[in-house]
Amino acid sequence: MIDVWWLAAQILAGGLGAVARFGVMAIIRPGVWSWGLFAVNAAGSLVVGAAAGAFTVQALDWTIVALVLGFAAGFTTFSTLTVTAAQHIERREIRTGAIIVTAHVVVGIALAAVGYISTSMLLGA
Amino acid sequence: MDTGTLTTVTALSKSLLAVFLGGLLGSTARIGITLIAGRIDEYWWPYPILFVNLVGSFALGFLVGRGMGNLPSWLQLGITTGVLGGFTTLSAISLDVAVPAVRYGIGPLVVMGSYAVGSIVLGLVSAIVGLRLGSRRSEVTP
Repeated sequence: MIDVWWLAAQILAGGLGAVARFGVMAIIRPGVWSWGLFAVNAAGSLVVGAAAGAFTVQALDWTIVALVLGFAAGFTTFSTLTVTAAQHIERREIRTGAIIVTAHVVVGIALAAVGYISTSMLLGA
Repeated sequence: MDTGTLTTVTALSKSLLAVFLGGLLGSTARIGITLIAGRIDEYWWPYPILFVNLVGSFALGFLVGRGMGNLPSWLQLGITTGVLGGFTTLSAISLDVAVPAVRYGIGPLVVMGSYAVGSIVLGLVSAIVGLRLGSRRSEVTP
């Protein structure tokens, strides 16, 4: 049975994540390389990795971890990334588009791994 | 506060509210899809997130291609930054590739890495198809 309050908390976390992304992207002005979006996706990936690492060594309750994942899912975004890169590709700036999308995903994976390893080592018994 | 500042503050709070409500809507749809997928079968492969990201990429591409100049800016932000931004996600991809790789090594890294590569390629294709279809429709109805 799915707990309604529990679902509501995760959805709320996602909504707050969207607002936080809007804030970061308003502060870090967009240029060719959309650093605001990059900061959002990098930070969100690091945080989910850290939360998952803390969870595996039982340093963090699943309830908290799921809220962090919900927030980060709303905070990070894929559609803005693909459409930004697609616009470059449509303007024949294929290399720029490819670099943007690859950098976000590769750095995101690497930072999630860094976060996971850090918290599981630091917080593990 | 002078009227100029007041107008800016009002516009900002309207945009913030629209992004928040849109984010709630996008999150609800994403969580709903993962729950439904989880009911159908016990997946180990994160195809619900792939589905969400491809649909979101197409939809945002379509809207950007179509142009939303006829909508007020708070509503544009609510739909793009809020709904579609909250619907799609990158952190889930990062986690789904990083954790199996750290725990189980190169094999899972290759398998889940190809999921990441697939997400990139198919996501770009969805966005391009969306952009082109969107701009085509706007030529028919100016």
